[in-house]
Amino acid sequence: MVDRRRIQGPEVSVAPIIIKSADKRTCLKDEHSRRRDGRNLEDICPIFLKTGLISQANGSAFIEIRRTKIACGVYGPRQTKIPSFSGKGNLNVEIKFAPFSCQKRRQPYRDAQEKDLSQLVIEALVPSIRLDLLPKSTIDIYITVLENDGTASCLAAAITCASVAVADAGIEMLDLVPASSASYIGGEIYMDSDLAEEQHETGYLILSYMPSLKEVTHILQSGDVDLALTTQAFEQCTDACSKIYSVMINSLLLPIRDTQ
Amino acid sequence: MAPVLISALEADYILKGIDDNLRADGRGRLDYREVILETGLITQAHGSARCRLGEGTDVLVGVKVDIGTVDIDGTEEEVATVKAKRGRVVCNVECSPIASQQFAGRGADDINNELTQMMSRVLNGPQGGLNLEKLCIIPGKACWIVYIDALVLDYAGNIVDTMFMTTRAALFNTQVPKAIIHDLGDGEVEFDLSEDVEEWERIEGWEHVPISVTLNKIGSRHIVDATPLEELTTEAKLHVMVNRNGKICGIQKSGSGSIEHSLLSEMVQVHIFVI
Amino acid sequence: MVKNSLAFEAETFRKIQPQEYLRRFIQGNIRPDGRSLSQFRPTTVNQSCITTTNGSSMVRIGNTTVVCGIKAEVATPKFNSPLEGYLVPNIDLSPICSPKFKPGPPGELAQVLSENLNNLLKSASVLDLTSLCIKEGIAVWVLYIDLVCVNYDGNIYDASVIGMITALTNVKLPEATFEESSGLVKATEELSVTLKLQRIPYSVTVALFDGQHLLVDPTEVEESITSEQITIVFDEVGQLCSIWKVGGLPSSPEHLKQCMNIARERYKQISMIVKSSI
Repeated sequence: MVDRRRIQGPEVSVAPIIIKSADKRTCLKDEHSRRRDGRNLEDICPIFLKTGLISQANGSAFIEIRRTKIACGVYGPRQTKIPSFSGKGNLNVEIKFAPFSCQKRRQPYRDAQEKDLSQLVIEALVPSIRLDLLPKSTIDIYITVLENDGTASCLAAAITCASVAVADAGIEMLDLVPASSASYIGGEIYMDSDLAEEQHETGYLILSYMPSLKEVTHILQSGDVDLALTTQAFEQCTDACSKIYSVMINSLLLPIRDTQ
Repeated sequence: MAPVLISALEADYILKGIDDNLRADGRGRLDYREVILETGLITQAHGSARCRLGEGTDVLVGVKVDIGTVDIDGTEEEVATVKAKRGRVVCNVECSPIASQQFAGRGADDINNELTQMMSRVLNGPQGGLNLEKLCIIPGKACWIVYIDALVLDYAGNIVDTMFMTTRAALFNTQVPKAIIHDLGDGEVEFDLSEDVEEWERIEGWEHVPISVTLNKIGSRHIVDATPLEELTTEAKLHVMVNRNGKICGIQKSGSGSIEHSLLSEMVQVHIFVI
Repeated sequence: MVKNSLAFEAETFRKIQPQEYLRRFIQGNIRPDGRSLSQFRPTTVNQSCITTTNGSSMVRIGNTTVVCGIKAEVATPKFNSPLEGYLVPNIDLSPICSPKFKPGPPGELAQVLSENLNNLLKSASVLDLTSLCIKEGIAVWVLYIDLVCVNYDGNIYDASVIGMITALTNVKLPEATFEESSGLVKATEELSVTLKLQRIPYSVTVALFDGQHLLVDPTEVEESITSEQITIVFDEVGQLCSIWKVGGLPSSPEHLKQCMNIARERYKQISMIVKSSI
């Protein structure tokens, strides 16, 4: 079926196959176990986080980690559209990857992966938001991924960004939810891995954690991993979350300091 | 039909029972219900299994293998060559609306999608167990695609565990036709499918397919194999996928609650005990 | 003392009498955001900001933010134009950018904008499509031009045109060859081929309020109150590429002439901004 609501290109198009020069095999770390960008295995990347970029939204945030760029807008709490009574508020999350955000062009309509990621973000955020104070209301969180540099770290960044945006909207929360990710590559843990590292991974862990309450709001792991390694990755992600937490607090305080 | 709401008193009753390690049906916190597993029920499928857990949960899984083309575009040559030599697994989970009220209407789409994604995530990665390279017929051209369709016929709690158990049984039951490859020279290759059922083979690596253990956090404790009423009391669930070597193949939290840091580590350790 | 019942907060006044609210401002020769009638909002352009694309740019006009990314893929050309590639512009006004937009397929405004961008590319022949040819009749480049609006505060078309054109100017394609034996198109890893644009059009939008006041670069609030808008597109030699007027009421030729002059002036401004962004 032809979608008349969009400008249509040719029926089929494919990305060309890229000839990779053989000598340029990617080496993920050097002899001092430093990664290609100079980080140690357990280091996370610097984070740029700013609130209030979307003037039309109740709350918004923009996050940049390496090349990953994510914008998030929060609308609400507003009246729930479907007239059914619920004593608790409703949280609705929609993640959208811009068609140009990944190595391969994505279709503009919502696919199954986006729906699944949206569900994961809901599960990560719900424990932190006081939905019991917002009967009959809906909070809509829209997340647009402008550039994706590693899916696991991208999802972690989306959760972090959304949590800050919710706080920016002035919605009551128990705590902020920082999230961090780790990749398992060759029996080692690479924190906050990028796209090239992700292609070599055998598994990943995404953890979102409320530092003041010491509660895990979401955990997702995939891959064939020993229990000991998982426990270690889990500890490292918890530490990383605490670091991200301070960045989140700073980004929320910054506009207030500016006005003073 | 399973209930969708629970009274505060009922929840309190369940909570206290769990504290005393005695649940409403007489089980302890880490006891499973009785499992009835059958394989090979559907003659039209290449493999099938049905699992019933206790008195209620009933999941039917059918596996169909089909010849498909290899998806190679869009990646670097290095990755493309690896991909060209692989088959793939396509999952679909559907919860029948007759099983529970929560599967009726639009709510079912979200649940179906979540379960489908969870299963494809586990089965398509290196942790999935199946040797995807053995599913390749002609590199770069043709491969087997394994379609796994899971149908939840009845619901009495703990769908995810039942689903993974049934899937593993169905994959064990699956017989793939043998492809006979003819070399026509000039690099041209063709293949035929063997008619002889005797030559059909199991998918290699089925024994490494993981199963899942779901831990339900109720109060400050956790239980396995929850009934619908217990699931309603659950604040958060943790699905831990493990294979036969005791390796963790996936962890995923679901539900609206959060889990204390210390409890989570304990919960992950528990799975080994359960297995 | 009797409290005057007609005195209320400015915000309340804006909500119940938007027209009158704007009129009061215009009478004082100023606009609600403090600009004069002929003043544009600060405009910034950021080129090649997204590395997963072949060409990209981010444009901000005041609060309005548009990100444009171009991705190149390979397809077979149309039968009757075996040398020509494709340009596929689409704009996405997702619900993130304003509460006006709903999730789901593109709404009316997005469809109109995409269609207009497409028409501009075609009618102004911005790019010679034969330059996208890889192998005659077999393989050509398709450039998917996707624009994502991150923040919607009026004058989206101007921002989109600047975004699209600057992204097109910084497109870098790999060197592609058609391999006869395998029937596949193989491309080099480094991106070295740039495109040569035949014309560089930029658009200028002016809103007409009460049939007499010209408000350049309208914000979202002004757009929703004024009924007429005129968009004029010029290219680098001052040739007119298109005029597009929305709204029911007629506007006088003088207004049109005035708009043309504004557009010419603005063109210089935009090209300065774009130049300094490289």
